[in-house]
Amino acid sequence: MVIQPMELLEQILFGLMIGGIYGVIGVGLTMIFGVMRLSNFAHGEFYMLGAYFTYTFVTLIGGDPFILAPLAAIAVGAVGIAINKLLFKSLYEELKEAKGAAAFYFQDLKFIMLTIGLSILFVDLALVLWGPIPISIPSPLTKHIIKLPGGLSFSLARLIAFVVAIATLVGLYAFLKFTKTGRAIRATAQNPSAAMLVGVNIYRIYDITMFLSTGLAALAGGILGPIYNVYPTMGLDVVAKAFVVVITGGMGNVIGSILAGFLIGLAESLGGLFLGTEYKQVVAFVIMIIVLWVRPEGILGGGRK
Amino acid sequence: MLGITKDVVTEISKYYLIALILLIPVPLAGDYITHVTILVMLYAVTAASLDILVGYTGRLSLGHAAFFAVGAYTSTLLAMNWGVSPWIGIFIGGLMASVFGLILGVPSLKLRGPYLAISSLGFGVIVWLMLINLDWLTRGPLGIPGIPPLPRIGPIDFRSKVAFYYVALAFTLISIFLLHLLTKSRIGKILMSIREDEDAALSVGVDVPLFKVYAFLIATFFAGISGGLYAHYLRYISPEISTLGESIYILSMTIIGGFGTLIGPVMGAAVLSLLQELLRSYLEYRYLIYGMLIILVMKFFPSGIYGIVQFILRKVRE
Amino acid sequence: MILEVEGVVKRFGGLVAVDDVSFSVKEGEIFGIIGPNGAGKTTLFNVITGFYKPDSGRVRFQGKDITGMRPNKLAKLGLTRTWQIVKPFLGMSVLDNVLVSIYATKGVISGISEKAAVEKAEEILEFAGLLHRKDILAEALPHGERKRLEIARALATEPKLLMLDEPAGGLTPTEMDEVMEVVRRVRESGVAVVIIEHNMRVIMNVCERIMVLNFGRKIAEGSPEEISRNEEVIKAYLGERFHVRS
Repeated sequence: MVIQPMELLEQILFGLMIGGIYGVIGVGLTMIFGVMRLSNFAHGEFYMLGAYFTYTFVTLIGGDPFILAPLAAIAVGAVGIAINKLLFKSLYEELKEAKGAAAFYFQDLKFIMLTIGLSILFVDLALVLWGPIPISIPSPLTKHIIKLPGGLSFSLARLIAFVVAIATLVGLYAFLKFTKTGRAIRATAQNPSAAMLVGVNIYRIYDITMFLSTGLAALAGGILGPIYNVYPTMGLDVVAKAFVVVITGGMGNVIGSILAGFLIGLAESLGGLFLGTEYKQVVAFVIMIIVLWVRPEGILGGGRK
Repeated sequence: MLGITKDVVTEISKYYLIALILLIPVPLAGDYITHVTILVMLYAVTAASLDILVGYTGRLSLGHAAFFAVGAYTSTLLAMNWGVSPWIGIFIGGLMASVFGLILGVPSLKLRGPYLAISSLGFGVIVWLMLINLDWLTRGPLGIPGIPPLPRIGPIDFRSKVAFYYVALAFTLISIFLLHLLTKSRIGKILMSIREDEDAALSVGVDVPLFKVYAFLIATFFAGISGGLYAHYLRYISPEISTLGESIYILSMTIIGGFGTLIGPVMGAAVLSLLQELLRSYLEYRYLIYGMLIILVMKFFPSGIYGIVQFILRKVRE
Repeated sequence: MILEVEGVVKRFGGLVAVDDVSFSVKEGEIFGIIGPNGAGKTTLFNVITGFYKPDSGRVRFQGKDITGMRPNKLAKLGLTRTWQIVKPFLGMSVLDNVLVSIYATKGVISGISEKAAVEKAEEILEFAGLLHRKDILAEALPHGERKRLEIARALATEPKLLMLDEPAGGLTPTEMDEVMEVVRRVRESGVAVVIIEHNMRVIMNVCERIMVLNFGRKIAEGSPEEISRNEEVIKAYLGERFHVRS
């Protein structure tokens, strides 16, 4: 098999673009784990809701999905907070009382099952509200094709999606690093009881984290909506990938997840090129399993066992 | 043996006798009920086998459907390509599932909590992708139709639902009885000590890695055998039986049923399967109700259906 | 000598938690390890019992080099530990807690008949004053009884050396006396005991020899009498305003 250099370059660019989106989805998932110590299996459904909310806003209000996606993200984030208060809050309280290794394990199981239930419920809700047929969010930007020398081309929509993803990741990093709330989030992730001692209201931090996490997933859904299809089970297809990113980057490690997003995006793209598209999907999982077995703390470390 | 006393055997046996007596007349209720019961029984064994891992050893697995599928494909391919009798093929399928259990189990020995969950999820997805992509062997996403039925014994033709029903019934009762004995045995107690606290178990002399591997071998073996029976019953399989969704379905039977009780997952298999059938008429709202139920049970009855049944029995006695 | 520790060093990143510590324990004695918080006592314990591998140094048990050996192997050899924060198998009955030790050390598949195993477990529970509790779940036990269950479970491995990590921690004075009574009886049965303890009253009453750690280093060793007069020890403790009263 001969691979043209241009083909390779194209795949690298595509890999980086999709990697940025993986990063945005993965960061949300890793934050929940880092701060609340919980694995959210409904994360993909917030991505799906983001896409449908954007679609609904576009049809109701009119306007470009790239402008309305952040709005959808905020709306989905609000749903996230509501779920956090309604369903998860009591779990945190129980977790505080938990004694013995098994008790933590049982809480994990309970939470995983709860989020699986949520995931099933949301998928069906989307089915009822928006129907089973895949839709595409109309955006004129998908028709703008950017041509690069050498025959490379991609739509303006992809470029914008990539820029939005990068801007979001940089913004999130700055928020966590430099703002008071960001510092409180990091303190809670490191040591919740110490954070409480210095006056951090950790339940408020959990709400904020949930808002950010679900909002980020929704934003990714919104900006991918015009490029790919939107359908009720799209979240299920992405949640496993999001966990791959989170594990590879080290659970709870924000920077790690961003890097892992790019790594997985690239590896998939190149894997598709070299191994054939049918094995594209396997690449990500093989990377994750190797990371788990060789370096379970993730590529950057810092992940908790 | 293994610390199983005669008293334990007699005490357990009576429940299985009652179950046997109750289940023998089921085929009288017609083909549809027989069919649903067969599937419930195969799922029940799979969910109970998963309970050895999830409920007893404290090892969360999100890829159990992969082992079910390995059993199903092994027996099918053996029968179709090499003419191996399904009676033997199903058993080899169980062993093959255990081999896959080792491949997943050994490298993930040190992983805990969500790491193990995601590792098993990834493993399951890889098996699913393999079944789709190795089409020279598995015929890819279209699946394999025309799987031979269980070979006839004398005048008994296992293409008939009623005949197969009794095979499945015997298999189910024996498997669950064996797993039940296991949980009451020394091995069961050692596995529970690992669930309760790995470090403490190590410090009193438990070879924790070894017993985790045992748990994997046992759990995957029974899942594999159920898969084999499933293949020769429906006589059609596809990679769909190994999806993440399917693994989650099995796990929800185990957890919603009441993990760590063995009988709970059996109840879970029955209730969730029946629920699926009952909700069929609500079509598009089916999963809405299903998801809601999972949330409600986990929120208000985390000990699952088994816990609810015990709660009701206690109230009745009072 | 039943236990010989030679120049053990354990580092975590840049921090030296245990710094070149050597000591030995005689057959049948009660040996105490004390020191302020963060002195490296528990780390040293984890190195000896196989939960951590030392960066350098050796540990010998009954003359045999056991450095880096896995904890379950050590328990089978006769070196068993308890935990500062007790780790009973909460979801199992008190009797099963003790049976696990017996199965694990005597053999799961054969080695001891079920009848003999249960008898032995009951004998040990009797010894620890928990026989009347044998059928309830460990999670129903109050803290003092959990501490005794922890010791009972360790005793069921038939140790030759029992390593107790703060057996009196977090107990009321009455509960403490009950636990110490059990410890004394353990020694009478010929088992050597190493105790880490914060509580001076306990350690001074029960130990024959004491080693003092500070910042990972051994600063003194001797009889309780000698230790209580040692200048450096007093300084180390006063520096931390340690509760010398019980």
